[in-house]
This record gives sequence, structure tokens and C-alpha cells, in this order.
Amino acid sequence: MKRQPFLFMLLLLLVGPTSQAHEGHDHDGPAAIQAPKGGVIKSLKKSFIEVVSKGKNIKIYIYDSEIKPKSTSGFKLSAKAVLPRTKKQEPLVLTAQDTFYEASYDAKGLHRYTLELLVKDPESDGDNKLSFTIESKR
Amino acid sequence: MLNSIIRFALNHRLLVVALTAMLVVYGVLTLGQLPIDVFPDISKPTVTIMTESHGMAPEEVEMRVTFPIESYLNGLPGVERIRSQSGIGLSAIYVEFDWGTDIYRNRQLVQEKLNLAKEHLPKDITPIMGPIGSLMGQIQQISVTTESDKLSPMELRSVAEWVLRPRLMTIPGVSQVISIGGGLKQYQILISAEKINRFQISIEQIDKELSQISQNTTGGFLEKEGQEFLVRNIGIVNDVDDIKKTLVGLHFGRPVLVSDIAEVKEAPRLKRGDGSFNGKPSVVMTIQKQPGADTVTITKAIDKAIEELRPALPAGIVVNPDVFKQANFIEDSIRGIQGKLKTGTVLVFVILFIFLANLRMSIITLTAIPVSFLVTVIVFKLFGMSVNTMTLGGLAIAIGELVDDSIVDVENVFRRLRENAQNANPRSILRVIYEASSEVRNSIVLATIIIALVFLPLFNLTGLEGRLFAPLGIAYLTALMASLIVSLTLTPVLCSYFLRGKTVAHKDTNFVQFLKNYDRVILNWALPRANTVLSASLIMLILSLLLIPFMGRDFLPKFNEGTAMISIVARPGISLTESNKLGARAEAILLATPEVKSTSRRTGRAELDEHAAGVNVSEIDVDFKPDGRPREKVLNDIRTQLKSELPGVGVNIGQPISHLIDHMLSGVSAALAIKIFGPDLTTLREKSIELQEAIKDTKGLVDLRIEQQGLIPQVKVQVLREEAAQFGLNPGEITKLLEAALNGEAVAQVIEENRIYDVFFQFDESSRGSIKQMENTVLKIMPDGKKILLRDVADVYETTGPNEINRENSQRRMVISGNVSGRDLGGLVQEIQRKVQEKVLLPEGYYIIYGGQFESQQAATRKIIFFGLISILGIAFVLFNHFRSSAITAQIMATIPLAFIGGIVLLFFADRSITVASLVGFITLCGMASRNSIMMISHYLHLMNHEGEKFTKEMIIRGSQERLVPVMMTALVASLALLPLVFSRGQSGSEVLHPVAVVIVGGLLSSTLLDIIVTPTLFYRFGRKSAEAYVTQDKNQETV
Repeated sequence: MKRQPFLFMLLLLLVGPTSQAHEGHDHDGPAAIQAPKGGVIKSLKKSFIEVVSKGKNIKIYIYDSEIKPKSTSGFKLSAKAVLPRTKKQEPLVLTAQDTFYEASYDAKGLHRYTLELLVKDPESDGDNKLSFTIESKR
Repeated sequence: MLNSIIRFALNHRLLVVALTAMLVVYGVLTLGQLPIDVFPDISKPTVTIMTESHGMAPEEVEMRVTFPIESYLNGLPGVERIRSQSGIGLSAIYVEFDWGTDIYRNRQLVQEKLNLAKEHLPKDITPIMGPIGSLMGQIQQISVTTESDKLSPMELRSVAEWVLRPRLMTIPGVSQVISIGGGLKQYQILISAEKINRFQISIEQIDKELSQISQNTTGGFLEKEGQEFLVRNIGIVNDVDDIKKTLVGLHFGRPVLVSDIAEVKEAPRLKRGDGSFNGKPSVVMTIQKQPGADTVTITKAIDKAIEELRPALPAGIVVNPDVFKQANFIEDSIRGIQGKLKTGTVLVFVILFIFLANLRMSIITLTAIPVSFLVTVIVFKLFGMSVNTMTLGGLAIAIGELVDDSIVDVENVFRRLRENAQNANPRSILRVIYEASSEVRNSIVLATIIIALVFLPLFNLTGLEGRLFAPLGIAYLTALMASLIVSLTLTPVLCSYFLRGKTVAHKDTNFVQFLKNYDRVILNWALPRANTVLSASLIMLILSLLLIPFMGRDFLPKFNEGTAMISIVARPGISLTESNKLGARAEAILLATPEVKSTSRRTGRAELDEHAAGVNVSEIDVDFKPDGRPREKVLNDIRTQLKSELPGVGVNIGQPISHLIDHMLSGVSAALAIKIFGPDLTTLREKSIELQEAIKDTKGLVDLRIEQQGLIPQVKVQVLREEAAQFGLNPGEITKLLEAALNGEAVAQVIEENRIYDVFFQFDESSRGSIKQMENTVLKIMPDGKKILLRDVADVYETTGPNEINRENSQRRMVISGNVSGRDLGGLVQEIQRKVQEKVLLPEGYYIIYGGQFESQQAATRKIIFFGLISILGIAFVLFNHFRSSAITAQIMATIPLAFIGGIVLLFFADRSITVASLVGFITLCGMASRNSIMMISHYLHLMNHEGEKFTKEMIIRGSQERLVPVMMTALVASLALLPLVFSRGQSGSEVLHPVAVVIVGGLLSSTLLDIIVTPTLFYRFGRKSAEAYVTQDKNQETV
């Protein structure tokens, strides 16, 4: 009997976040998909997000299901950098261009950080949470 | 001097016959000893450096291994290109030297630099040079399969590795035997992280203890009762039990054995490649030969060795030595060309007999063919050349010319003997033969010099085309020189024996009489109408030249090897298991094709293999049944099916030898290679996708793919220096321990009979199967008992990284490759270049280079045209030097374009493509065409000089009629000798020679027909002044 609240809490922990965002699903681009800008591509329900980082500069490209560039208008995107171990979070300022967003982040000598994107795609329901590992020293 | 040779031969007739007989016998004996191959040695001198780099990621391999080695190699004398491939745990560097450099000297230079570079490489990393290989080096594939369920893949591989390989390696000429598939047996110690935690033993300690698991030492000598005993201290392990009983540490004073912390078993080593035959798992053995070794002989020795071993193999093992045999292609090709040579010789005899209607004359003339061929064979032996399609092709082209020298001589001797017989006081036969032979010797020698000059461009070709066509030129010229000597020595001697008595009463046949009468009619019409004849010739030439833009441009004709090589390239990062499944599906599709006989597949890379393919690449060798649909159609069907059933997978269809030639030309196994150079991998990937998008719809472009340099998933363990220092650990120590635990390490060897197997330890699957488990790895136990886990001192995270990094001449590069189907390569490249220029914008520091067969085709064409012009100038100089008349020189030179008319027209209808081979045909044609003209004009001058003729219409007609038979015979003999090659389009071995033959036959037909009319007309119209001057000058000439 004592186990029941624990199992309930576990269930809530597992299901809860997924009802808010799709983190935990396999967002990796399908095997055959080539990232058009040479970066890392991940899939949403009806679109793809590609992240290209060079030094401090980060570019986030949006594509439709045919991997054709998609306009940023209508898209809602927020980004933050999550540092390893300390898990400290720093929000990023995104500048929207025609088909991509741009941001700049100085990792201050850290070997990596996680870029977390919260995406609201007008063509799919709900928010999508995507994570990209950015290796700033590479 | 030439007269002296003829005189000597006629004065020593028996000696000439005896020497000829000796040459024939020696030539026949030598023929049996010459190595046989498809092509001459077309391998570019290349040194391969392989460096195993302990599981480093491609970026690390590039910067820590490839780059330092490349830096030392740059600037080596003779280096043309350095290519490299940095993959997972492997650096492969290909140092390509100039053609013509000595491979042994090159290897010595490279070795010196490697010794210097080694000091700058990470510890324990040693670059090794691959064996000397040759392009046509992969001569055979053998499959080892089993029909029994009792035999494991590991046992199959053991048989291949320890029974078959050692025997095959002893065969003279075999340089390497590489096996893929099955499993290499290992004794594995799979350590449980949980158990070593329980016993509080660190990896550091295990590493130290296991490194001493199997050791023998010596105990010196023991003297006893006057005898000396060798003392041996035995500590090596012999089996699984020995390993299990080995101590690795103490826990509360109790010994901890290997069996307490690990599972010990015999298991296959981690595979980076696999093989299959006809869709079933198999060990595929690839046999490489040493450069210059005779493929056919080695193949026979391999087959014999396998037959001898077969009874001793374990029951249920099936060894198939016929998976791929280059010898089959060689034998088919050589047999084909030999057949064509035989047919050509028979046709030559028929023509001779029709024209001469005299068996003796025909036999004397024909003698030139075998004697010249056998002299050529002896020269091949002296120069270390092989019998191959190109050298045989040179002989096939030469057949016509060989008999021509003799025809000219025999025909003139015959004519003079006939005239002599009609004299009231006939002179001595030997005297008549000597004078008749001397009379034509100048024109024969002049024509031979011109043909030698014509071949100048061929000997100046470098690269693959030079390697391919120079032996053809050598064979052709050697045979021609031999026939010249034969015509000066043996032919007059044979004439003196056989053209006596009744023979000389022989008259022209009705057929020849008919031709001569017809020639008179034509010349009577043409000679007064020089302008009309010239205008008509010019119009025909212009019309033929107008066909050129409608023809394509290719480097070499397509080969028909009878087999296909299909590459299946999956996305980078795919596991070997999945890649194997894809390969198996592709094999199933291929085997369902009715024309396919068998398939053998190699996925990934075999140990020892210099071909550094990733596990995402499968190479399938396909053998076809002899019948069925046309090959092009079958391959197109296969391509469509593979693409539709294996979406997202790159497919490249080629042929084994063509594949290797492409690889040699551009470093890429496709006909067209577009290389983007630049520093940043992300930008290179971006630009290559842009380029692919820009050109993907180009008509005729197939198998388009981007080199699979993509991102693959990685787990990185980033050592945190500050945290590590707190526990007294340095980063190097941590990474070394982790390498042993996660990647594993061979610590000893077990010897079973004559087989040696590694003893290998690493963490078991449950201890390294997830990031969590990896993070919990115990690195060290502190004196207070506290365990230092990996997560305490490192950040373990998932990320991505490149699967491989390719460089060329010290620059990172990405290749977009493709093949051509149903279109010429030149036109396709032009269209692609235009599209790329319009649509692809490159940032600063990035540039594109187009390579592959296209590059070689352009370079070869430029060289042939340049040296062609030089040799035409040379011909003009030689002609002017001989005739001392620019008008006569110009008239002879004018016949060359006439030959081009037929060559271009026939090439247009037969192939519709201009290749280096067809250009070689045009070169040969220049010599042949000018030869007839020289003979014709020389004869006119001879009539005026020695037979009292004046420059009249009648003299021209007489001279033309007298030269008609040799001219027509030469043209017909040369054309008919090559006719079998004209009809052999696409046949194995005839691919390169077919366009050469098409151009020559077409050219000879047009030049002969036009020559009969145009040369006399031109001479009649423009030659009077120069002919009279020549005769006067000849009579007044003072010689020293």
C-alpha cells in the first residue's frame, strides 16, 4: 500500500512534462535527412529545426516537412543556454530574420552548454522543447 | 648504307634465312614466357600510410596524426598530391608521386619523413606504410561459407586466417590476402564494474595485473652431471581456465581472481566490417598481387593451392575461388584480341591473293607479319613489357603497314623481273632484285620515319593515358621497324628464291586490269579539272568537321569488365549491424535480377585493408550471366530498384577496374568529382548540399552523392582538470584508464598449435552500456576507501562529430561525385560548371575544383593537339629535307586532312564520342595517309628521273596506275586487319582499341579513295615546276 503514492508520483513525473512539451521524444532528424546548412537538425511534427553554431554566433533555421526554408513569422521561439553540472540557465536574445533566428552567447571558456529551445509551431499543437549540445571550443 | 644492307642480304642469303629462323624460334619461346595482363601497368606510384589511432575521434586523428604526418610529407620531391582520410581510430594518407618516379625511392623518401614525424605523434602511435600495390592489384576474391550449423562465423574466419591465408601468401606474386567477415577469435575478459566495486579493485590495478597475465622468462642455464639444462620460467596462459585462475588483487587479504570479477570466454573481436556471398554471411578473402606479377599464372596457382587444401578443411566448409577473378577478364580480352589478329591476318592473305593472284608473292609478303611480330615479342621481353590488349592493339594496327613495306618491295621486284625477262639480254636476277629493292627503299624509309614522328604525341602523354597508349606506340613502331628491316633483307632474299622461272611471266589479273582501266578513266576526267576536284574535297572536309560539335567528349571509352561494383553508402553513424542489413537487402534485390549470377559484399573495413571505408559503406561485386538484357539496361534497372527500395542511401554503380581507375584519377570512385575546399567542416557541408541542389536535375547525371562526411552521434567524456586534480588524477591517466575499460586492451596472447589469439579485456556490456553506467565507473579508490567515480572528475555527455575528415594537399575538402549515363562527360561538365557558377556562392577561403575523368580528358586532349602540331611540323621538315621542295611537301601534307574526313564520319556514326583513344586513331592516321602520298609522288619523280618520262598527263596516269595496286592493297589490308575491332564495340578488351580502329578504317577508306584522285590531280596542277626542279637538282647534286 505504501508503494502506491510513490508509483503515482513517478507516473506524474514521467507523464507531466510530456504533456507540456515534447522533450523525451526522438527529435533527431530521420537518418536520411541532411542538414542543409551543415549543422545539427532535429524534427518537430511538421517542420525541422537546424542549429549552426560558429564561435559565439548561433543560427537557428526553420524548415518545412520538405526541408524547404520556412518563414519565421508565426513561429514562436525562445532559447536559453543551460550550463553543465551547475545547470545554471541564461536566456538568449533571438533576432528573427526571414528564415532563421540569430543569437550570440559567450560560454566563457566552458567546453559546452546545452541550447534549449522552446518552439511553438503554428502548424502543430503544443509547445516543443528541443535541446542541442553546443561545444563552444570545437 | 641501306643499299649495303640489301646487297649484304642478297650476297649472304643463307645467313639471312638462318638468322630469321633463329629469331622465329627464340620469339616463339619468348612469347610463352611473357606476362599477360589486360592493360599495361597503369598504377600511379602511390605510397599509402596507415596509422591506427586507438579509437580517437576523426577530429583528433586529423589534428594529432594526419596533420603532423602531412606537414612532413609536404615538399617531398616528386609528390603530386597528398590525400588523407581521418576516420574513427584510423588515419590513411595517400602520397601520390609523379608518373615515372621510382616507387622504391619514393618509399624511402616517405620512410625518412615518417621517422621524423613519429616524434610529433601521440605516444604508441606508429605510422606504417602499406605494401607496394598496383591498380590492377586486386586479382581474386574467394568466399568461405558453411553449409553446417555446427560451424560458427568465428571458426570460418579461423580457417580463412590460419589455413587458407598462410598457404596463399606463399604463392609467388601474391602480396597480400585480406579477409573480411566471420569473426576474429579472441579470449575476452569481460569485467563487471559492479564486481570490481564490490571487491574494491580499481581499473588502474586491473590494468597493471592483467598486463602480467601471460609471461615467460628465462632462468639461464643449470649445469648438472656435465650437461647444460636450459631453465625456462613458464607463466603464459594456454586456455580460458588459466586466465580465470589469474590473480588481479586482494580483498581483505583474500585473493581476487579474474573469475571473481569477470566473465572469460572465446568470442569474436569487435568488428568494423563484415562480408557475405550470395546474401549469406561469409568470409570474403581478397587477394592482391605484387606489381608486375602475372595475374593469370597467380590465379592458376591459387586455384591449385585451394584444391590441395580442400580435403584437409573441416567438414561443411565451402571455399569458392570463383567469386571474382580478374584473370577471366584478362583471358577473355586477350583471347578476343588474338582472335581479331588471326581474322585480320587471314583477311590480309585473302586481299593479297586477290590482288597479286600469286601464291608465292602473297607468301613472301605475308612472311613480314610473323617475323615482325616475333621480333616485337623479343623487344617486349628486353624492356620488361607484358602482352596486353594495348600491345596487341599496336600489332593489330601495324598489320597493314607490316605487309605494306613488303608489298612495295615485292611488287617492284616482280615488275622489274618481268621487264627483265622481256629483255633480249636479261641481266642477273640478283642484280635486278637488288636494283628493284634499292629503287623503293628511300620512300619506304621516309614513310617509316614519318610514322615514327607521328607517334611523338603518344610518347609525350603523361598520366593514365600515357601509360595506356605508350605501349601501343612501342608495339606499333617496333613491329614497323622490324618490317622495314625485313623488307630490306628477308624480302629480297625470298624474292630471289621464289620469284624465278615461270613466275615472272605472270600478268595483272582481270580484276587488277579492270581497276587500272577505271583509274585511267577517272584520271582522264579529273586531271584537267583540278579546281573542281579540290573544291569538292574541301567541301567534304568542311562537312565532316561540322559533325564534331555533335559528338561528345569522354576520357576513355566505357569498359566492359563483365562484372559490376556497386557501392551502397548509408548515413554516417549507422551501426555495422544496420549497415549489414542494408547491404543484405541490396544483395537480395541484385540476386532477384535475372541477369545476376552472384554477389559478394564487403561492408565496412577489413583489418589490414588500406581502403579505409566506414561501416556505413558496403561494396558489392556483382557477376553477371553471359546472356540476358543489355548490360546498360540491367544496371539502370538495378539503380532504379536500389534507389526506390533503399531510400536515403547513396548508390554508386561502376565496375571494379573502372572504379579503381576513377579512384586513381581523382581519389573518388566516380567519373566526375567536384571538390569543395575550405577550412570549416560545417560550411563545407552547407556548400556541398547547395551544390548538389544546383546540379541534381542535370540531364545524364546519375549516382549523384555527397561524400559521406556527416555528423555522427558521439559520447564525450570531458575531463574536468580542477576536479581531477583534487583526487590526484591527471587527465592523461584518466583517459588511459577509460580507454582500457571502455575500448579494451589486448594484454597477452594464447598460442594454440600454430595459431595465435589475443587475450583482451574490457568492461562487460552491462558496465558500459549507458552514460549512467559509464559515469559510475570507479577510477580510483582513495586510502580512506572512498571510490572516485568518473562523474566526479568528468562531464559525460552526448553530442555529434564528423564521421571522417578528408583532406587533399593539406586542405579540408568535401566531394560531390557522380557518373554519366546516356551523355558525354565533357558536355555534362560544362553544364554543371555553368549551373554552379550561377547558383553557388562561396565565402572567402573556399573554392571548387573539378576532377575525375573529365580533368584527364582535357589535359590529354591539350597535350595530343600540342604535340600533334609539333609532329606535323616535324613531318613537314623531313619531307622538305627529302624533296627540297615546299610545293611537294605541301602536296603530301594536304592528304592528311583528307584522311580525317572518313575518320570523323565513321566515328560519328559508330560512337558519336571523341575520346583519347579516337585521338590516338587520328594520330596514327596522319602517318598512314601521308605514307601513300609519299609513295605516289616518289614514283612520279622516279619515272621522270630514271625512266625518261616527262611531266605529262600520261606520266601521271602511268605512275598512278603502277602505284594503284600497292595503294589499294595497303589500304584494304590495313582496314580489313582492323575490321574485327571496328565491329567489337563494347567487347571485353576491345573497348580502348575500338575507337582507334574506327578512326583508322574510316580515314583509310576516305584517304585512299580521294588519294587516287586528289594526289595526282594536285601534282598535275601544282607539281610541274617543283618536279622538274627536283629532277634537275637530283641529277646535278654533288655528294661528299
